[in-house]
Amino acid sequence: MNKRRFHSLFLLLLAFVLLVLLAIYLITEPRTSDSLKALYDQPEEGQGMVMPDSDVDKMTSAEIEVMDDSLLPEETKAWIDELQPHQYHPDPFIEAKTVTGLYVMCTDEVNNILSIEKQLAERTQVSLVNDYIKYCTEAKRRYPKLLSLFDTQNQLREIPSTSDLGQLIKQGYTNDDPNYPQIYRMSATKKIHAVIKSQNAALLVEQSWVAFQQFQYGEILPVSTWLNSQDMGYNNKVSWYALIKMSCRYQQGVSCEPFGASTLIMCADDTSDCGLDFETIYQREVMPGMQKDVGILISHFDQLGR
Amino acid sequence: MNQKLLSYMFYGFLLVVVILAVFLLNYQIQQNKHRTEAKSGANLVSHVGDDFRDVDSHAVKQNIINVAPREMDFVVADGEAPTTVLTLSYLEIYQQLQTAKACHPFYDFWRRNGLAADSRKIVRPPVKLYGTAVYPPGEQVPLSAGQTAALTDWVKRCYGLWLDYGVFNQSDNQSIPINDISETLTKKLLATVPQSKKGRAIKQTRQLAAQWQRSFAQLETTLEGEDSINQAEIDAVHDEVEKLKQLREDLRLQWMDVRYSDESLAKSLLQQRNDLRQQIHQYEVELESQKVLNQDALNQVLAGYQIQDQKLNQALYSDVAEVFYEALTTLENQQVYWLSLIGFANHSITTQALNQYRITPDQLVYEASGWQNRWLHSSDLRYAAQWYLCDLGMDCGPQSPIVMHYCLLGFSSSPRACGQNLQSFFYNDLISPNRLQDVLQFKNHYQELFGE
Repeated sequence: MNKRRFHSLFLLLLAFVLLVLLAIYLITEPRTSDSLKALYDQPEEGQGMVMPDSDVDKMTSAEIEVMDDSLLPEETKAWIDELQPHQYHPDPFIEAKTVTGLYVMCTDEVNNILSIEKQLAERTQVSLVNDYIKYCTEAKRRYPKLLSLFDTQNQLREIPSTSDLGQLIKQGYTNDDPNYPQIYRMSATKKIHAVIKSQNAALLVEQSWVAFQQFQYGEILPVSTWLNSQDMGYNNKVSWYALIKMSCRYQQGVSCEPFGASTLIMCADDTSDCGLDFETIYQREVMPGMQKDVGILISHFDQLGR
Repeated sequence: MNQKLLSYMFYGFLLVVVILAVFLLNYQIQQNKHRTEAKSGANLVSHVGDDFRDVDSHAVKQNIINVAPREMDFVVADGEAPTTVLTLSYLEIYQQLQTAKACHPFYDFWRRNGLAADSRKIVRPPVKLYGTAVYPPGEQVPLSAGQTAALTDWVKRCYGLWLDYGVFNQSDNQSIPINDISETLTKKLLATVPQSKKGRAIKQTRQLAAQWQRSFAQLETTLEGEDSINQAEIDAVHDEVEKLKQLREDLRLQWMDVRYSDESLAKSLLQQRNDLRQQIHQYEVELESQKVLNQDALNQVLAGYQIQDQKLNQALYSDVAEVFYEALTTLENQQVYWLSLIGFANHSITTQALNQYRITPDQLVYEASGWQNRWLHSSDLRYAAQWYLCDLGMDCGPQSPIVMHYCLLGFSSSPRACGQNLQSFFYNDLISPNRLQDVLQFKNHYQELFGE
């Protein structure tokens, strides 16, 4: 081997070694326990990541597809027909969710369990019972089939959804396998973003019950940081009030009327609340410090919705 | 440079490169293995946990041995205490009793799992804050440094007390005492004469509390009424109710199977379940309605209860923290093992008749505040009562039982509580700055109503 050949070989080998080192560096990501932990915290591909605003925008933009309902069962078609003309959303699934959500206390399903009329009669004055009967009679005249379902949540799933929001809501918590809490948490986060953006009172009320009650899965929004409070029970209550208060803004405030779901539940808890609207009960029951915290969350939720 | 030397240098360099490449390849394989485990979503944590467990269990065992050298062969006869604890004052025994009560979750754990079990499992999973890792159920969540320190300290304290007051069964060489040491300590406390004014005040309040509990239990029994049908008939109804409940459960399982596949069957099953529910309810109503309230007996029992209730309520005006604590927890009918729950009485709807005769301190405070819906502000009331107890002088320091409960136990543990006193934890971490004004409003009512 002469000197010149040696130098060429040496340089070639050096270049090769550098290339190998570079390749190893690029493909070997986790080097510390921290980076491994960070990797664990990442969602699996395609599984409900916390979506950036642009994605959420896209998701809730309700791209309405044309629906072919010729293959649907007759009963489902009848429900869809009953929704016409839509009052709240072009997607029949969301429209049905909204109707059954806003008038949930008039549904046969809830009444079979809670016997609201009987309970009201036992607890409050006759005029209030009459008001309730009148309120529900009107609602049932408009939506006789949808308010008479026996298993509303599951039966509504038969209605095809024509929007991204509908698809997302329809999924339900399909990822709620307790063995994958991280995935559940991200799925719930995605959903709460979409629901806040939807400006739909019924969906907001539903989320107020579902989304923040899942202690075992952890926070789905940084509420503890926003409030500077690590009391999860309290943070859940504040979140609940914030979402209900937001729901009062939409669909002419139906969800916050005296016979709205949230309001009637408060009436069941304390009979002196019966017949009052949500805002009146809120002012009577929620202390000033908690009211300020509710205000903080509403402003954060509003930001998420923008 | 001659050619031979150049060749040696070249092949030598080649060898170094090969060794380096093998090393790097091995490193890469190891890293990929870690990454696969992490992606599978299960084992990163247990990997970290395993390292921790080795260190921790060794340390805990070592600590136990250090603290309790007499360990398993230590035996005392029932009711007797070892000579080392015979000379304790009333107040010292009282503190030991409080510690033993706080240790209840530890004892419960050791009784169920044995002493060799991983003590970290006593610790409840921490509050799951946004952005932090969450772990599948059953997987041991790594403890914070503060939790580890608190756990080690409390394992020592709880086990130490167990050794001091436990009665061990020599024959089967068991390391678990056969007695409840809280009861043993309670007996010891009863038999001890307090020398200090404070000790006497506590003893007197505990006696009042015991009398109150007896009269309250009597009131409860009387309010339930007396059966007007014979026991055989009652048993027959109970049997029928059990059968119907089982049938209802079977229908639920059937409904789960067919709810999507067969709508009409699902609907029929739901209807049958609903009918069964009504039948069960009917039987329960019958059982209730056949009972007859003995008004004379009730009047008599009620008169006795009201005297006891008045006496115990007087104890709330004491400036001795322990006296207030005894009166408060008794009136609330609390399971005082769960210290973080002190300050709010659960007036269950099932005991409505009884509750009309019981007014608890948190009710008085809430009424004084003028707000509606006591349940909504239940934890505000709890924090206010606990804070008031701290103000009175109850031990709320970083090593206190109540801080240990926040740090390690509860529905979710609060690692931030470890190492702080209770008030700092409330102020810095648990209670939002806005909410603080609500809690302090309740605390001020405690002061106004019961303070001097």
